[in-house]
Formats: sequence, C-alpha cells, structure tokens
Amino acid sequence: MSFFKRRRIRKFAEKAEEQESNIFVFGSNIFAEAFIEQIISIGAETKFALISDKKLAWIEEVKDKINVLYEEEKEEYGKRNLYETIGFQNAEKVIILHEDPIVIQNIFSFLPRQDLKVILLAQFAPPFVQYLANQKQGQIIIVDNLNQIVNALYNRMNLQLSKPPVIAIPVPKNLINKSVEEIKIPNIRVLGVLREDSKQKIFSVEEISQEDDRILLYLEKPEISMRSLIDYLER
Amino acid sequence: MNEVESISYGETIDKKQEGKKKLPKRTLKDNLRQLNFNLTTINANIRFVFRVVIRELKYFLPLQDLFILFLMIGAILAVFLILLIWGVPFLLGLIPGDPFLAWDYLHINLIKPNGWIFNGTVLRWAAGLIGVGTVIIRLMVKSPIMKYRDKVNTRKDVTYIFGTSRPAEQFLFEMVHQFGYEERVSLIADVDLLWVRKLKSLIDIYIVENLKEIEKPNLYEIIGFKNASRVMILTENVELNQNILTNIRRVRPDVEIILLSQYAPAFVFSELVNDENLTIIEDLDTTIQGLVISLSLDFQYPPVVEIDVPRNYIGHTGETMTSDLIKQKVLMIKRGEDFLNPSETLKLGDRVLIYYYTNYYMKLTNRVVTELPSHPKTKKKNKKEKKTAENSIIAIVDKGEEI
Repeated sequence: MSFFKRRRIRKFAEKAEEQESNIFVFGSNIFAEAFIEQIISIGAETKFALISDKKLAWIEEVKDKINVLYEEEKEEYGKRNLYETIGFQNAEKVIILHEDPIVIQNIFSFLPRQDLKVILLAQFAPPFVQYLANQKQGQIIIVDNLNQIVNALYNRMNLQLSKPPVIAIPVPKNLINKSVEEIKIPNIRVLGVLREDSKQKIFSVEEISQEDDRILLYLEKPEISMRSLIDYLER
Repeated sequence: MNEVESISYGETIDKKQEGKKKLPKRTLKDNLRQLNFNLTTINANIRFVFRVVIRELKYFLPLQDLFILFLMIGAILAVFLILLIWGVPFLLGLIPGDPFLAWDYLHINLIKPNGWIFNGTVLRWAAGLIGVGTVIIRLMVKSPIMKYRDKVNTRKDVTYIFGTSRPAEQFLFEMVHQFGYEERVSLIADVDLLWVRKLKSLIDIYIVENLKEIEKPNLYEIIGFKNASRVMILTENVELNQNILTNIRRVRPDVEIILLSQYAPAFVFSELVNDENLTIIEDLDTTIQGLVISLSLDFQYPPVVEIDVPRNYIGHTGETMTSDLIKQKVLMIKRGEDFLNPSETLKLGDRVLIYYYTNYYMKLTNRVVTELPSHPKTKKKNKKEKKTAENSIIAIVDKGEEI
C-alpha cells in the first residue's frame, strides 16, 4: 500500500473515530444508495461511515454529510492491510452491501474483530456466510429481503393460501427463564416459542423460555406493530 | 431444513414435572379421523394427477398427430409385409437339412448384383419408404418453442415468469415444492441452470437458447401469451427486462406485468408512462426498511402460512388438527377479524395459521384445501333448498294458472 493511500485511509479512520461512527457500510449499489439516503433523512449520518468501491455522483453528493472512503481496487478487499489500517475502533456493526460474493467473502474474512455484528442481504449472501449465520446467530444477521420480495410477488397471485405477517425474534433477555405470556405489545400476538436444539420444536406461550429460543409474533398491522415492538424491546 | 419434531396437541412441558412431556393418548377415533384425512389427501392428489394426465394426453394426442401416428404404423406394417414376402423363401431354405441352401440363397439372391438387395424395384421401394419415414418424423418433431407453446396453451390462467434470478428461483420453489401450485406458473428461462432442469418435469419451461431472441418480437408472437393472467419479469438484467416489457405489451396490451424496482428500467418511472397494468414491486424500499430494522432487531421469517380449514376438521379444534397433521402445527385460528386460540372449535370459513417443518407435508395439506375446497354437504343442502324453493314456486304458478 502506497504512502498516500495509507494516509487517506488513516484520515478516514481518524474521522470515523472522531465522529464516534459505530456502523461501517461497504458498497455503492442501489441498496447502499437508498440506505445512506434513509440514514441521512433521519439525521443519523455521523454514526455511519461508508467504504465505497466506486466513485459515483450520489456519493459525491453525500460526501459532505457522511465519512466516505473510496477503495476502487478489488484486490485491496482481499488483503489484511486495508482492515488493519481502518482499525474499526468504535465499530459495533458492519453492513456489507456488495453484490460480488468474493468481495463479500473477503470483507467477512478479514474483519479484525470477532465481536463485530455483520449485516448482509440474503439476495447477495454467499452460501458459506449463510452457513456461518446459522452457526453464529445474532452475530451474523442476514436481512431476508428475498423473502420480502417473494412474499410481495406471491401476494400478486391472488391465491387461496396466504403468507401472514409472522416473525421470529430472540427472546428478550429479561424474559429468559420466564413465560413469554408476559409480552403485551399493542397490535402484536405471541403465537409460541420456537426452540432449535438438534430438532426444531414449537411450544405454547406458557412455556418457560430458554436463552436461544425465538418467539413467534403475529403483526396485526405490520408497520405499526414493528415500531411498537422495537420500542418495547428498547425499553 | 433441520431434523424436526412435531409437537402434538396438548403437548406442553409441565413445570412441576421438569421437562417430562404430557401426551394425550390417541384413541381409535383419533386414528380413524387421521386415516380419513389421509384418504382425503390421496383423493386430492388423485384429482390433481388425473387432471395433469388428461392435460398431457391432450397435448400428446391431438388429431393431427394421431393421423400421423396411424400413417407411421401403416408404413411399418407395409415394410414388414414386403420383407415377409421376400423373406419366406429364405426362411424355408433354412428348414431342410441342406446347410448350404441358406448360403446359396444369400449368395445368389442377396449378394449378387442381380440378387434381392440390388433388385431395382426393391431399392426404389426402400428409398421411397425411407423418404416417407423421414417426412413423418420431421412432421412429428417440433422445435422446442413450438412444443412449449402447444403445451403451455393447454393451461388456463398462467403466470409467466421470465428469468432465473434468486427471487425467481425462490418464488418458483415455494410455488411448486411448498404449496403445490404447479399449474399456475410457467418459466421462460434466460439461462439453462440445474434448478431449472429439475423443475422441467413439474412445470412448463422454455429455455431461451440465444439471449438475442428476447430482444426480438418473434418469440412473443409465437408464444402468444393468450392465457396469461400476469407476467413477472424477474431477470437481473435491466436491458433485458426493458425488451421483455416492450415485447409483451406488443402482444398483450392488457395483461398485468410485474417488475422488481431494483431491476426496473428507468423509463417505467417516467411520467410519460401511464400503464395501469404495470406493477412495480418496491423491493428496494422494503429491503431498506428491513435493513434499518435489523440494526436494532434480529428477526427472521418463519415458515408460516394461512389457509382455509381443511373440510375434515370443521367441527374439531385446531389442536386436534395439529395432532393429526404430520410435521405441521396450528398456531392460531382467524375468524373474520377475530384471532382465536387453537383450542377453539373450527367452523366453516375459518382460516388457520400453520407452522410447517417440511415442504412435502405442507404441500399435501394445501392440496386438500385447493383440490377439495367446497363442502359438498353444505352445497348439496343449498342445491336441495334451491330445488324445493323452485318447485314450490312452480307449484304456486301452476295453481294460479289452474285458477
């Protein structure tokens, strides 16, 4: 890595540290663009730092608001130096929005800290990352956008079978070793407890929950319900 | 999917017994009810298979092809007869004890320039028959696109899907392997992939050999899309999507076309485009929403579906249904706007939320609901009621006329 390049990366890392950015976003595709736009619209841009593989007009536009590093050489993503130089000092989460499975794999493999939460899109997640996500639940989060797309397509078919708005979330820490019956959130119904040891089992809501359990929730009004669920969990 | 274990109804862990499961004993009545449901499943499957077989026969045996088939059989019989007439002396020559007779026959009649094989008449006949055979075979063998067109046109209300992207793959997987809606979809693939070939025996598929064909109108004119209820354009190539969209509109201006916003061509967002039947699924927005939510919440979509109550379980509880169904669990009952526990008795018109552990059994349950949706007793009753009402009206009218 040349002196100037190293300096540029260090400058980016220092700025990220200064701004206390704890979420690093990799990518420049339409998902990255829409996501950064959303982040800026809610005024949380200082929390984020963007590492882009392309110099695009939309990035130039947001460059004043968000900390950006251009790394156009694909090879660099496969070398440790880039990640070591960035340091990821305050980082808590890394969002990978690349489409190239090799780049995703490289970023994933060379992240310097094991405790970082990694978020990817199911549409672009390579098989080995999907496999790891099953092993390390909670640390690797795959946003199942494929499911959302397929559900939207499915709804257009006007078939007799429909897909209800049901999600599975980890049992809140305060409810471990307690019954999930206690959960009372407006517009949300608790359907049961999902436990995966060697086999998958569903228990009724009276069941005493364990650490790795998930709760099945029916969202009566999906958007409102999701917001009230997040509020409930943050409380 | 992981190895699974279905929890039967009433199966909860008793806190006092510390993990010991309390299972209700299944009575003979329970087993008979389960058997009845299994028989209904078989009935539903037979109905489906029967319909598929009829459809296949309709495709394979149209009148024109039957005529050609009989012609072919006739030609083969004629050849056989001719061979028999010439072959008889040769066969007769083998029967007597003279071992050289057959050789003589071969030598004299077959191999010599003036013998059987080189006889001018036989050669002319043989050449003629080969020619006829070739013509018949050429008539019988259709190009893949013609085959696809003829086959897909025997179906009604087909959703055509273009592309082999991951959304297309997952959508088709769910439609075919999880829910059993094979008859509703047809694929026009831009790439010949293994999963596409695997689906070929279950749905109608046309694999475009040259991608340039997609740009040209001929493909669309040949297929026609007359039975299309909607067209989903799911390729990952924006330019390709643009070509498909334009060409489909040329042949079917009224059909619903569905596109994903991430692969939609820019012109569809233009104010100049005013197409009521164009649906753009805002997958970009939903993905970003999911991404933003995932920053504070780790959530997954479990395999849960909502279906009508199978006819066998009307009058039984949701828990009874769970105990009978294999690797499925009723989570909730929906009655209009109300949400009920699985312990409630199911009624006609209820919907049930089912968590399924394996695709196969889910497909079977849904087949019962889709193939045998009506409730014959109620229908018959209604018919009887209608008939009696009609009869009484007729009787009143007759009486009036008499008066």
